[in-house]
Amino acid sequence: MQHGDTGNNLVKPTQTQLLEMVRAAFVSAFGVDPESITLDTTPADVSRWDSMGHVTLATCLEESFALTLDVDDLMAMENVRDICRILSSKLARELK
Amino acid sequence: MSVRQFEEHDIPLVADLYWRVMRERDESSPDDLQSNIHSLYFENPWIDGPQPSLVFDDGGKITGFLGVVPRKMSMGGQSVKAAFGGNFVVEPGSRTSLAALQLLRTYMLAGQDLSLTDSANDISRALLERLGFSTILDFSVHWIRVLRPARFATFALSHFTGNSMVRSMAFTTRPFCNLTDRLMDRLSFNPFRQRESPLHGAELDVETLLACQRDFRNGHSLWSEYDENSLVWLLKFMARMKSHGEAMQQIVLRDRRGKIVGWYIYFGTPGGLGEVVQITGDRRNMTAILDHLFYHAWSRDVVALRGIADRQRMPELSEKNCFFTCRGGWMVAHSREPSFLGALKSGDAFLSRLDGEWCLALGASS
Repeated sequence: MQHGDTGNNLVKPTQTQLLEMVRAAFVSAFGVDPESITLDTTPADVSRWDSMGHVTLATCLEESFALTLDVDDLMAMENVRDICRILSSKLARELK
Repeated sequence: MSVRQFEEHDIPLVADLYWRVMRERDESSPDDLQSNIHSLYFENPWIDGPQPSLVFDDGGKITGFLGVVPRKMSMGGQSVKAAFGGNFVVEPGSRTSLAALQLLRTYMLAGQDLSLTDSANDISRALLERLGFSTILDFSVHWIRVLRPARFATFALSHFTGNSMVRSMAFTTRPFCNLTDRLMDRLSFNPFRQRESPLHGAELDVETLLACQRDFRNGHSLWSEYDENSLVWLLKFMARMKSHGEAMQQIVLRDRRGKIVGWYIYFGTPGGLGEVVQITGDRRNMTAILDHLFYHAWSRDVVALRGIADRQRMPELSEKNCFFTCRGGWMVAHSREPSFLGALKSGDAFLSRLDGEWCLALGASS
């Protein structure tokens, strides 16, 4: 993965890399098969993705991407596409 | 699927949801549960605007509920609108709708000055903290005082394991435990032996309780506001629900000169764990107040008492051989105004179980 502190060069991950990192967070939070997670995955598709699971997932994403998700981010994460969009936008802001 | 205001016609569905999920029962909810829900959320004396309780409506099916009861408080004399959340329930099969988070988020944005709950379980606490709530440790530590050690040991085993064989054993060993406790009561070195208090106890009426609340809150910044109407309603509701015990005891304590030095309110069930709602009084008399409470409950066959261990009473409770635990429910709070949370966290709030939603737990006869 390219994201992170690599000397002084912070590099924004590509969309593919971002999805891979999000999948890793799903594995960590729910123990699911990473291949089952697509951009269209919603809580209804993952049995343990309930409110408590959502909080666990948010924590895994924060650790993975080294950023903080606020309450509005949490509430806007309705599917994997939303998660990628929110993370992408936060990473872009951090890299500015 | 959306969060909306709880309406009277939702009561049967909410009662069924509560009955199924919270009480783990298969049949339809009893009628008295529905009337108790109506009483709590539509007849409480603090409602002065739109209904604050929320439902999660999934195409006409109610799959989530968050009961909210407003309370009036004061911060240094300034009016504070508090809203206590409780009876929080989501249908297990609908939890991937993230109903719990959506209900909590709607509740905390509803415009009150202070959002609280005083009986959150570990899951609710984790969700609420993630949404910005803070745990108030001062009101989350509980004390337990054993009154009848042998009976308490079997009660705790049967109550906390939930095992039917252990329950049968507890029942059959009861005569032996009674005998053991009676013998222990005669031993002067028994740390759980009761001592008669020098204070005189009498039935605590509403008028006296109102005056006591005013007189003893001095030195605190944040407190609950009551008038006769709200206090009468609250005490009647608690006594009717029997959610925390069979008999509610309200005792005011006077010294030899007849001066009020304290009071307590507790639920006591013979052979069970008594739940202390409020115990307050003059700090210099706290040991004698505790002695009176323990003796009162012990003489009514209560095997142990539990209450909130606020920091001001910790030394006396410890001296009286109380145990401390965090397993009695968490108080979590949220406010945009830092001074409200500051008062709660620093022990500057004159609050007890009487002032939250713990005491508003729903009862049902079935």
